[in-house]
Amino acid sequence: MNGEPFDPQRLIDAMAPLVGLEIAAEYRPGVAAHLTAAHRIAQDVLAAELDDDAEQAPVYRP
Amino acid sequence: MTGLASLTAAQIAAGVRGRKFTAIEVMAQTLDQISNLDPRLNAFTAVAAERAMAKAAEVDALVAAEKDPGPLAGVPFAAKNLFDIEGVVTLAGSKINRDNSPAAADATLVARMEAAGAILTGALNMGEYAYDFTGENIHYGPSRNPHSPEHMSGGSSGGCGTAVAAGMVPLALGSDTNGSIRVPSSLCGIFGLKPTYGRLPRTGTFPFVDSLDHLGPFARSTEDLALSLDAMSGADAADPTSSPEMFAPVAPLVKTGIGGLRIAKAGGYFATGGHAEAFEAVERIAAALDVTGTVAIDAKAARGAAYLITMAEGASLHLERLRSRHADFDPDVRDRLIAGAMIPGAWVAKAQKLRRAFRDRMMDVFKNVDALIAPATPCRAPRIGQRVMTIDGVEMPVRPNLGLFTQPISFIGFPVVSVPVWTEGEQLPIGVQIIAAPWREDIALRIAHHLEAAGVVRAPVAVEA
Repeated sequence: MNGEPFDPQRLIDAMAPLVGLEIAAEYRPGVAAHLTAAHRIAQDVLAAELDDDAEQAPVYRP
Repeated sequence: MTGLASLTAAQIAAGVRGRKFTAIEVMAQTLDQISNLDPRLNAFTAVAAERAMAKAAEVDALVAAEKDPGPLAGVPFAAKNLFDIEGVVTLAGSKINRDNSPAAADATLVARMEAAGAILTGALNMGEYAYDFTGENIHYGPSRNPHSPEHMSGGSSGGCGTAVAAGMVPLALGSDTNGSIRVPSSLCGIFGLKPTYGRLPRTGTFPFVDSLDHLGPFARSTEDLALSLDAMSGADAADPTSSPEMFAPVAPLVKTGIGGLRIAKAGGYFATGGHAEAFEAVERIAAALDVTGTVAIDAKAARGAAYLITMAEGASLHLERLRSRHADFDPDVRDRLIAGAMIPGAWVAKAQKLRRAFRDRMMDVFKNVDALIAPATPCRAPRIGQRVMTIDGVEMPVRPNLGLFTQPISFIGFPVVSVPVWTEGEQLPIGVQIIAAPWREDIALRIAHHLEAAGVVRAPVAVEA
């Protein structure tokens, strides 16, 4: 991503109240490590070029 | 009669149907085998001895009355403990689920196996909530690799790998969201089938990632995989992903050879990022099949997309438990699920679009080939407790990365048979994936059987056990 380096601690601080989770101090290193891994892996996904009309895989049949 | 417990499912069914031995004799030896081995190997979390003996008596009564006891007559099997078993709490590897009520009925696939004459022997250990590739479990202990009990079974269907490789049961049912059938099959040296997404209904099983969850069998022979797939196939309106198609049985096709099949190695992503033994195993299989061609496949983004969908859907499933019971999770699972609750929705939506795009690219590949071969795991079984591994000079955590070769394929739901490859002088095996186009389990099974008949792949009962 462009701009500032990814800071998982700030993300945890911002998101925890939004999703209603209390993050104990001993959980933070693990959660931060997984967010960092997800952020790195997401770059491959975000870089993939798709047309605007690309459809998601799940199909809902009413 | 001795040694019945180490026979294949096909051999047991033939023996019971042909009155060479009874289902009760088979089950008594099976339960003895479990009693003897499981204290050391930790495959089972519940043994349904009484139920199994009662069912064995029913099978024997059908044989005595000259009625059809089913194609899997008297065959013992066990199921990962995310399958509902009537009267048993469905743990899904967790401590939290112990507080749930016992299941009111068997999972659909358990019921279909028993309708075909097979007999459930119990519930198998697994990684918590299936978010695991190691077979370790903080609450119930690790399921151990029967070929070397200080090594991992692989996960998350760890008990399935342990029980089948140790000869406790000839068949086990597991689940595979990102590789949880193929990883333990690889590490424990047995055959595993992850069918096409939608081929086997998931009704009565505890979910993980609805977009990616598959169920399938483990066995010590390809014929047993085919027999169990046929016994379990069929639509189920209770699972909206279940295909309404009527599939022809695959068992009659398994031994028809590989003449005319176009097979290639999966290159690109699948040719790097593992230890030498993973690629040596692929070369052994390629040589045995006279395969020389390679198709370059860029699966890095596909793997990433599966990773993100898993995090997000897993977090969604467990969000309330993460609020109210966070201290009762396995810390390795908890921290990943919490992180999954914090990733942007736009990433996950893009990942789902990429799923269809990657599926289309792979369908183009399958216009020119009938099957691809690829490594199943990047290495042989790590030692239990090993946290990191080094691949191509990069240190990475073991737990999420044992499935880096399986994850892109389950992402698009193509069927795969994992076949076990052994190297002289090595105590532990490693698996190779045989990947076919959607609904063509028959092709992957034919190739696997050809290799098995030629002695290139095999799944012996563990000597250590």
